[in-house]
Amino acid sequence: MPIKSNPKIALIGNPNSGKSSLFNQLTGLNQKVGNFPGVTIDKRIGQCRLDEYITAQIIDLPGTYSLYARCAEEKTALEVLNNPQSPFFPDLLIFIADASNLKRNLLLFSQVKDLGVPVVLALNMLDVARQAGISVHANRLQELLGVQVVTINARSGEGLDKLKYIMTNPIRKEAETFYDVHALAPKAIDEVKAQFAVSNNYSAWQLLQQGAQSAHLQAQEQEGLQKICRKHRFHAEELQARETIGRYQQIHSILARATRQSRTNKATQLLNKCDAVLTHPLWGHLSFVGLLFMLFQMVFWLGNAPLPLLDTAWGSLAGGIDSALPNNWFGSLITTSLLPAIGGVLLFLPHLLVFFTLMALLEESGYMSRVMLLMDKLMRRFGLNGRSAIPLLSTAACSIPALLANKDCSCWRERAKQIFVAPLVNCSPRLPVYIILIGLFVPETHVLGILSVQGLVLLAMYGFSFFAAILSSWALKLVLKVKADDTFVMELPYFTRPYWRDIWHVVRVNLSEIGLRTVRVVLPVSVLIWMLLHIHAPHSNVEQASGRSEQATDRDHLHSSDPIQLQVVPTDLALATEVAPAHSLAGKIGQIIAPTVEPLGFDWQVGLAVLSSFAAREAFVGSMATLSSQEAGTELSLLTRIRQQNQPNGSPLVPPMLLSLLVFYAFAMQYFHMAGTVLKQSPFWWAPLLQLVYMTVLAYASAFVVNQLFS
Amino acid sequence: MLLQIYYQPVGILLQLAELCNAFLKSMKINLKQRNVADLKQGEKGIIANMRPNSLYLKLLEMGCLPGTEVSLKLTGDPLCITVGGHDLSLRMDEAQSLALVE
Repeated sequence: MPIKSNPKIALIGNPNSGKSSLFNQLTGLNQKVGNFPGVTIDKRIGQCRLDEYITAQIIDLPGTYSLYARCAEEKTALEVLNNPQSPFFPDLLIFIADASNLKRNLLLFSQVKDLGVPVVLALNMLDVARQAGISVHANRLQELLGVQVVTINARSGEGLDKLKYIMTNPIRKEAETFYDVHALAPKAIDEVKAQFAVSNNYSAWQLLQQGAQSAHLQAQEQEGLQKICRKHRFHAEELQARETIGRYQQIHSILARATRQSRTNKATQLLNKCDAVLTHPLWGHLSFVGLLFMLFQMVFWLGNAPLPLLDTAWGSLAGGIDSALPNNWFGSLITTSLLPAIGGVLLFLPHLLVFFTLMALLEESGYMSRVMLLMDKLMRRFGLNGRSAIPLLSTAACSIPALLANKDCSCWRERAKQIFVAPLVNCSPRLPVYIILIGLFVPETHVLGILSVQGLVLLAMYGFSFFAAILSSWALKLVLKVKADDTFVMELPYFTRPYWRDIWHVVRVNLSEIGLRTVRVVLPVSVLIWMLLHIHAPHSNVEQASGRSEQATDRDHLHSSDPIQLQVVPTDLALATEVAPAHSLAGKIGQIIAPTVEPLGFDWQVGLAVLSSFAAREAFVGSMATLSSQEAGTELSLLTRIRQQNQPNGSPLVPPMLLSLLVFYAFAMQYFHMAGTVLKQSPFWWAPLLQLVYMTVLAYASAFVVNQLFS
Repeated sequence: MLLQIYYQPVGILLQLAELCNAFLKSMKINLKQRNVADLKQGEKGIIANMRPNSLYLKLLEMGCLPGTEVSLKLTGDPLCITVGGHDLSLRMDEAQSLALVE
């Protein structure tokens, strides 16, 4: 093969065979990996430097079981491979095969090979195969298949050098056909070859099979294909079945010579028993809830341990900065807005660290597929596929819109599902925000000695969002009669040993994302709030003398439940910019929205913070920190400050205000970012707007109900 | 469905089974064919040949070939079968469409 200086190399393979891991290894990019099928849903492109002269373009295609597409993501891979004119059409294919299940992997391999694209077979997951008692002779496989075979470990990076070497020096060899489809429909294939200028038998066959649905062909060409099919009685389904069976027969005879299956070891048998428990209708659900319970308890047990220390450290740091800064608007901006906002997020770093580590552990182990299996029965009734359980317990949250839009029909029902259900099912990005909010506002008390109330509240919120998601889906199903995705034929992967590298990778990506959002959204929003707090509202030129008393009554009115606030008086009136919060522009806005948020149990400050969080959920913490810093000053530590602000004395275990706040967040759409995603997928400009209105109304109504119930 | 001829002993056996079935059917003896969902936990069976439809094609691709041994690993709905050394989860109706050789 002539080597270009910028060859296109595509990674292809079955789902969950390690393509994304290999992609990350080759390109150094950070794509999501996990031990369950369907992590990658769209093609992704990265660069890989093979040697001094050659930089390859690596294309990661979504996993598929065959070249026959049944859902949108399989179509992506197919459209690239079946269309030589595609800008992504590869010069070389790397086929990643899961060695523990070679038989099924080789089916797609044989199809890809017959398309005539040069292909290299990368044998991955040999460790899993060994665990399952399968030994593979790579050399013999290479002889029998007639392609280069490299053994790799995509997770640890073993064998990558050899793979890269082969990528730069592929053997130029006329590939023999693995399975000749010509015999199945000779006349039809010959006619397609003549009419469509295709030289390859299997490409012609693919045109006959799927050409009529393919996007890159013109209507006229599609009609031509249909005519050929009719003329030669090309029964697509029957022939496809014969092709698959024929390929499997050959694969069988090859594998009989290249692999050996020994008895499975004790560990595997034990894991099989585990499976029986984990997917049992009763024990399965119990262990799922139990696991979540443990997970959330751990988050607060481990996360709260360094909290006082962090709080003190942050307090002294902030105090130091405070005294070093001049006592003017700039100092005030730093000490009462930026520092508290950063601190509010930073204090909960340990919690998030624990949370993401445990989540990644679950994902890596292969437990996710068991959860999908478990959830399918329940979720099916409500019009969701078990696979939609992924975002309920995964950091790969972005996959849900594609999952729901599984069928490529662009009917309005699918679109409605997209708008109304997808954002609710997508509840995992909410969890970090819940953790911060609960850590901030729920007292660190324990029931029964050791059970953290915070953990329990988090579990309750999780359950709440889960039921909200399935109920909304059910409502939509009743109204629109949307049918659920109709198949659940899914591979159950082996349990695997988690790789710390991958776990660290998940943690790092998630934490840096939160950090980025803090810088990009939380800080600007906090500064905005600070500015609003320091601008006099028009028509509020109250005289200084009477200002004090009126301010007090004003505040008395606004948070009648907060006696502490009455004693706190702004100390440094010397500041030129000093404006009493209630009389600032922020206070004015607060007063305007106060009647609206009062039924939810929020005071005007919480209302303002909620309003600001429409930019991003985390912005709530920043705004709250800024608001509370204005009055309480910087003497108290940040944590106490924010907590005091929202905890009336003699409060119950969990204040109803907090419950309604959390419920509000279960529904409210916070991302402008998310609106952008919706807009990208739907041609209507009003779709995100409708979503925003719908979710806000839902959030408001449910928070109202919760507040009325609990207060 | 037209008879498909396989040059494998398994294939021939299958054809024979199908012939017998067709014979019984023509004799108006109604034998309900067992399917994967009828298996007990841990029980094994051989997948029979079927009329192709889109679900069947998907199952074929996943390795549920006529003539392969299948065992039920986990009961319930969705259930889990082991076929060709690997585990596959199926819904009840999907499992019911996978007929077994008598």
